[in-house]
Amino acid sequence: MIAPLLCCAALAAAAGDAPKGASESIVLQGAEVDAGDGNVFKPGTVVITDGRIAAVGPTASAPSGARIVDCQKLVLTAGLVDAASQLGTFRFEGFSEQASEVIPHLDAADAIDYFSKDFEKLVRDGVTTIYVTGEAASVISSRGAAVKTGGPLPGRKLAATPCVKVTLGLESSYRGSANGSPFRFGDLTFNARRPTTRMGSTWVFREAFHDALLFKQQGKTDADPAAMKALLDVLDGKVKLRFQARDVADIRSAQRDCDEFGLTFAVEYGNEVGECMDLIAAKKIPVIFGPARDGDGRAARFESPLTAWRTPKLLAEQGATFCLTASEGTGDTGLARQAGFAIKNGLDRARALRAVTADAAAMLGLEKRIGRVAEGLDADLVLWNGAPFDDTSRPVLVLINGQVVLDADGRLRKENP
Amino acid sequence: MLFVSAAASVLAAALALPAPGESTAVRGGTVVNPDGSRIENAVVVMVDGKITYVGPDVPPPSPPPPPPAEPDKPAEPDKPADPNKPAEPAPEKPAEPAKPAEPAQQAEPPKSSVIPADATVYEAAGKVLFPGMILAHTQIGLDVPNENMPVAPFVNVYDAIEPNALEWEECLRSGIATIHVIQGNNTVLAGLSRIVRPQGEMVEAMTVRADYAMKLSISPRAGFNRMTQMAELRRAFADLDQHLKDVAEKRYEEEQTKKSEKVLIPPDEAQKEGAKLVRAEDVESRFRNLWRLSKGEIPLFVHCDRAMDVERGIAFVKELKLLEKSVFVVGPEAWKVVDSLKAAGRPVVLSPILVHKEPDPATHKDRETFVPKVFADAGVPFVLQPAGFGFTADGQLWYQAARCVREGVSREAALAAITQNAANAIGMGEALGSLAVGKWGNLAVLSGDPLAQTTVVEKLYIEGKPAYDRATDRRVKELTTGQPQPVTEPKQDAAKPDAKADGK
Repeated sequence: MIAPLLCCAALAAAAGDAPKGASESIVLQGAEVDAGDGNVFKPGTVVITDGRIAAVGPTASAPSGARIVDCQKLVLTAGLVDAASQLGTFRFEGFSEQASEVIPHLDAADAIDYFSKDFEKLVRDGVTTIYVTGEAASVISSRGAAVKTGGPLPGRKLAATPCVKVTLGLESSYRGSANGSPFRFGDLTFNARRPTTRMGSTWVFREAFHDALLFKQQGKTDADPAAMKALLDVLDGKVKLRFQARDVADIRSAQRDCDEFGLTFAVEYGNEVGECMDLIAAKKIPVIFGPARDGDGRAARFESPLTAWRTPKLLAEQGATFCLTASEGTGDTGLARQAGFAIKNGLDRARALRAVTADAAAMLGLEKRIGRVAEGLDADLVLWNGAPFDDTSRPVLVLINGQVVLDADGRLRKENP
Repeated sequence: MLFVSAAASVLAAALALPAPGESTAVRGGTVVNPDGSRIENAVVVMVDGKITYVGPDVPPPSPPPPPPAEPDKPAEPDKPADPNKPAEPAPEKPAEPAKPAEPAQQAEPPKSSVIPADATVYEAAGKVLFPGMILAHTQIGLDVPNENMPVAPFVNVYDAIEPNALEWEECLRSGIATIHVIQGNNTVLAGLSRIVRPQGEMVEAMTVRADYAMKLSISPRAGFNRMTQMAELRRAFADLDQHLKDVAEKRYEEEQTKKSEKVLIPPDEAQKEGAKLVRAEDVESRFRNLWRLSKGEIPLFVHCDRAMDVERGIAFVKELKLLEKSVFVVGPEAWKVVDSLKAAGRPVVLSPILVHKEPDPATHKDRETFVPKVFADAGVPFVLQPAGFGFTADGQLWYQAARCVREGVSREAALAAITQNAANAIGMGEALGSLAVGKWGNLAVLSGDPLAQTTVVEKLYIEGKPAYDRATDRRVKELTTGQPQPVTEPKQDAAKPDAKADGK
């Protein structure tokens, strides 16, 4: 184990010292490469040029002057992708917009703190891209934003398919003191506008889309025109929709609400999708499932007291489009552990890898940039010291755009000096 | 109450052990012991609840058994257990050569010379046989971990253990065969603990060791600061001291009166003279546990949260002359005083929080330390405990061990932390913690390596008897298939034997 780590340390030093902008090739040799598209090379070679994967295969010809790094005994996969993260935003003012419960015109990208410590934790977990999803405090929340967890600042934001999040269930109507019911405050404040029941949440959703349709007809509205324009984009299919729905009732409500306006949607979290697989399969609803296990008991806090052990396996068996998310989790509740938990409960290893890489990238419309170890994709790579997602394994080296962001000594490397 | 519970637990122990001569064999699996040793295609034989053989299966001698009739050994079949009790498996001597007369027996001859003829045999080919795991310090099964009174050495977890709690089932499912239920850390002085097995309708039936240990906390309980905590602790022992003096003086006076003699010495001398005359029944019941503790009759679990508390804790128990009876239950920061704990040479139970996080006051950078690695590197044996229970990843005992391996702790040290070291911490190192001859038959049959990702506990034997079978685990079935299972299904105690060794 020590020898490859030393080599990686050498790579880390080398990559850090590389002159900016220079065309530099790195060849990672000897690792077991699990490309995430069905190709597994034991051992395999990955050639990185200018931050992208130039070649991958059992052997690959190294360009002249390339730095060759021995990665024997390590396993190489694509960097992990979390398609519904709540991390990386400014914590001080919070991420819950209090001005309105219909905010599809806002962009989560504006709330991302690229210097948040969350990104350091994510890098340690091998997560190289997160999609920061809208906050659950608003019924129709903001657009999400996909960002890389490290690397140079200019390249951090990715052009994911625009998507607005809707939250049904308890969290949009009852979510801590920041979103307390009016009764808690004693008199009418801006909080009083909040829906306080599931009925209220659904009404807010339907009212907003009816307002948008009215706006289209009449060209004017009492509601925020920017929000209405954003909703018309949703109705036109330019912006996708996802519902945070943890239990069966909310998933079925989402379907009803969308049927009314001819919309399609993906389910976020979906703790109980296992209980309505008929609907998921019939309507081909994509699912961003998780966290199945959650250290702070979040999954159990509101809805779905029973952690759904079998759900990832069931989704795979049903041929559903799905990926896994850790939401706010890192470390022992992070994305790698979610995949590990799914494997423990019967999900095939290859499918588990896809569920946190390629399939998550596809869910974001980023399958041509990230999520696999394939020619032309960004060199976002993780080297594991054992089988990925095993309780006994961890990332020992993480690269984003071909640059080392976590080195073999466990040191995090910031963007280029 | 004390005597009642003690008597009841003796009775319970007698009930729980298998009937004399009852023997069980688990055959064909790979024995994995925490010291790193492995035995492929092994047999574990358990007689009267104890392991009598661990080792490779030895086929019977290849020629047909020696002349059938051995007139000098007619009584042998009735007492098959005794010849196996010694550690030596004596493979040359067939264990049961005595019943070859019937032709039916010859059709299905015993396949092994180490398995007693009357043993109930369970096949475990392809499985891993691992010692039943141990929770050395837990509050599971207690509705409230602590008494409201800061000093309550007179209480007993016996009165609070709920045999119907879901956690016991989760223990069986996780391969945990022994649990030390002790009060929580939010205390000054807590009452008696109990070592139990996770099965039984009543606390008596669950009991392995009644009234086992006590707990004191050096770190302040809620609402206290460190000074009041220590003042309360000292006051508790001072109160005991005063009470014992009063009792001694009274006893001296009683004895003098009996002898119709007058008390002619001053009280302090009478206290000294009477000290020898104090009987258990003379000590008030609220002081009795503490009295026994102070005499070194009861092990002591010492909770020390911060590094500074560890130093003070060691000093305090030395002052009480109880260091040799102490087990240290430490917080995450204790890695800073690993050398002191090493010098103390007593078992250490680590916090379930395995990563110590500390922001640097100057740079505000988080410094993270993986605590077990520091202990492993210093050569200090440690005990792991799960965080919470069951529903989170780190709520699993073996996940904690796997985490240790992930962070560079040796496999042996990680496995010992959930077996042998835990057994040592509860004073049962000779009986539990590994699969060895003479130890108790607490055996988990795992589907694979103890630390592998997809491994599950398939069966659990407690004291030689089947205690859990995943195949009949209603909740596992429900969670993995999604199909509601009838609640009337028999509990998971009915592991079907695969065969009788003698072919019956």
